[in-house]
Amino acid sequence: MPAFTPEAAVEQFGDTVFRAAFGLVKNPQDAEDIAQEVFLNLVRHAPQFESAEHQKAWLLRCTINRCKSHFRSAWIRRSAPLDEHLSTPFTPAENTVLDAVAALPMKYRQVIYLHYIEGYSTAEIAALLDSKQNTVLSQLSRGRALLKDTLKGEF
Amino acid sequence: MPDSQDYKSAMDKVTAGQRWKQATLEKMQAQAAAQKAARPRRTIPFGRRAIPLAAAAAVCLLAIPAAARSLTSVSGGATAADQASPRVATRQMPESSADAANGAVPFALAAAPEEAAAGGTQDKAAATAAPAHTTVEATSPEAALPAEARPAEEADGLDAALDQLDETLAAEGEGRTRDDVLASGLVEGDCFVFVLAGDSETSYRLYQIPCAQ
Repeated sequence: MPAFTPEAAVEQFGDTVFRAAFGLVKNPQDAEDIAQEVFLNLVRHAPQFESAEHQKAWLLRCTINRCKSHFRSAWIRRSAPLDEHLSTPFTPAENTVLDAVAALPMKYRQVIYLHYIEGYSTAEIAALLDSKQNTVLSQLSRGRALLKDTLKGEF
Repeated sequence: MPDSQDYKSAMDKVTAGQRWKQATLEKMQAQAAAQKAARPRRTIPFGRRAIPLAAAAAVCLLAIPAAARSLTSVSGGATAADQASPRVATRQMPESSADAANGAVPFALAAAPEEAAAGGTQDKAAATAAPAHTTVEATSPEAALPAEARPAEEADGLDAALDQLDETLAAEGEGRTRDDVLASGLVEGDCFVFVLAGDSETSYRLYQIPCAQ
């Protein structure tokens, strides 16, 4: 297994971590801070990874934890424009669905993000979040139902 | 109606900016450097001192295999190289506790036979050239002479005794000659005694030279 250098980690997983942070906090500045803190944690703890997939799971788990801490903190930035983070602006439908996901409780939002964006199965999400698969199934189902209700469509 | 496809396409548009990547990399490198600088050197206690772990490990890596090799040869495990070259020194232990009690030195380094023979002759020469003097403490050279010593200036054989003294002093190799004699005397048994300076101000060397008949 090759050594994971900071340069390689940022290059390979920078977008993944930033996207996950943005998907959970829906604020680019907060997402930048959270993602940066996640990579600094990587240097600080220097964990040993068995594979790139293992490293990605570690980074995502770390990102989710940082996002939870962020919501517990007293000061949260208000929504801000995405600036350079968008190759093309969001369409109205995308904005609607992002708002709907952002309005979900954190426990539903994280499983929705991991399932639909990162493509993890419920078993993998359960392992990543250190919870039971039934719990993940239940959270995914409830989150999906809430989104359907909000968006009046299929999810 | 918006659906999961809109969610995916929206998130696909989100990428980390180049400035953020650069800033993150710089912070990571700074963090790594700070951690490296703050990391104390690991040491292991050795008496009152602490030896850096790296140095201790290096010593162990060198010393332990060497010790293991010496033990192997003691237990009879001579290597092919040892057998091929009789000049290679081997370490020997006393055959028994009796040998040890008789002064055999454990782990004494035994030289090759030729070297041992050469060393033996040197030892003999050294034994014959061993200092023929005794060291006494006295307040003056005259006081260093034996109490029963008589004046030797007029005694017969003084010149021969001085010649022999010169030889003895030359064998000692300290560059002394008869000119360094501080006092002399003649003692019972027809021996000349010469006093030379010792290692300290109150220390004198006493050379006893038998009279040549």
